[in-house]
Amino acid sequence: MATSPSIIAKIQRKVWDGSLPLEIRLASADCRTYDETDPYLVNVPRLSYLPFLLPRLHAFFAPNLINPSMPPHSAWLSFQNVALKYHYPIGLLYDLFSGSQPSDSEDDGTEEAENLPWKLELRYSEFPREQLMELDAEGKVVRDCYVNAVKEADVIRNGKGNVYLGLSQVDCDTQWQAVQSQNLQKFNTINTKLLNPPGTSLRNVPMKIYLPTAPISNPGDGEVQASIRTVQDLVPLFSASRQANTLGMALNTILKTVFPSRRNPVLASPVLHGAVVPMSAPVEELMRAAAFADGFLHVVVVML
Amino acid sequence: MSSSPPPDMVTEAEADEEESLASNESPAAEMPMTMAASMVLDHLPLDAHNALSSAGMLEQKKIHLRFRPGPGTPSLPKPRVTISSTHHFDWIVRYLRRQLRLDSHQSVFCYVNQVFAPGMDEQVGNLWRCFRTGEDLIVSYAVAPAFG
Repeated sequence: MATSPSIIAKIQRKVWDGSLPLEIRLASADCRTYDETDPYLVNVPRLSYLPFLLPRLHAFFAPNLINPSMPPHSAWLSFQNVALKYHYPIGLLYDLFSGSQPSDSEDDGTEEAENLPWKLELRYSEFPREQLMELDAEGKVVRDCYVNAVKEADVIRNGKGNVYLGLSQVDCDTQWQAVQSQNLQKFNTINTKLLNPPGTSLRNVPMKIYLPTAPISNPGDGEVQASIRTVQDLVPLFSASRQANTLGMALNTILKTVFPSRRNPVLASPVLHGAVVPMSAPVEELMRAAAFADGFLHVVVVML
Repeated sequence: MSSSPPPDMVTEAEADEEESLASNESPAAEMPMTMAASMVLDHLPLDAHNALSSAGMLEQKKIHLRFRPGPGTPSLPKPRVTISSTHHFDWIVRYLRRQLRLDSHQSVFCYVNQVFAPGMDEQVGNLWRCFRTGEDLIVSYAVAPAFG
């Protein structure tokens, strides 16, 4: 039975209200005092992006910088020496890297605090060009990345990408402002147009799946670092028999060895916004209720 | 989207079969995982390890790519090439820069299906799977911003 629009709106509101407390310290290599400076504490929306924080972080840490002339956009953040990608939503980064267990429907919410606040390090020197894109002072790189992801999602949904390209410049600006200010109501004035194009029906749900890849250690080979692989495929709204496609069906099709059953998580669970998602959830409803601001369902695979 | 020049540009003749950059080029690095997140992997049973190792990979190791020049941009002598599906999109940008003999201050803008510029870290195999036309992933390129 289809979920009512009001329930979908409620879930979307919960997703947008999701937040994470961060504790950010300046790397000692960039700090001109021997004693550790105070950390910057901030609660950020899960759907937001790290570059939005840089001006505030810079204002806070600038007096302690060895090189005070470094511009705010030259800074980068890391967790356990892994550079955090600027174009990934903060909640996705947390679910991929923090090692926290996702919550499921049986949780009472009392255990989640052990890894919080999430402790990140801010650096200005040794920018990891191999792993991160460099930002610019005007914020154009961040916006371009977002807009391109939105266009990619649009091509996936309707096959052409013409819905986004048909928006006015005012609409595009409104959407970007809504993402920056995390204003769901404003965001939905544009998102509604993207998800309900007049005269056509949507074909696929934009989805990226993030898989841990485990190093299988061979004797004498040394330690191989574990990594994350992204898998992307077209996920139709409906199955061949015109049934609503579910997340379990989609994962079973794309990652058969990891999700051998369509109904039950056997080896792994799918996670969105820090929560385990039921395998039976229809992908179209997930898209409308729980997509990230770029239109994608960024599904993290957590091994059981 | 502009791209920065590769630090190790080498002018070598390409192999005939598969297009390559330099022989010393390492394969695309996957996103490293943190200790905290990889802890759970240390205790996985072997069947789960095996399930993960190849999950979601394309069956074919190589894919076809077709380059289409945008306005005011020269075409390539060989517009259709075969490349490894595990390359990231930045490989394509570096390849194009070399083919077009661009200086470090010149930019090249690349688009899939004339609509969007993929992230430099997107895997070519994923893009081919989602956006191919026939058997080819079509990449439009221009020396000035075009499309979209």
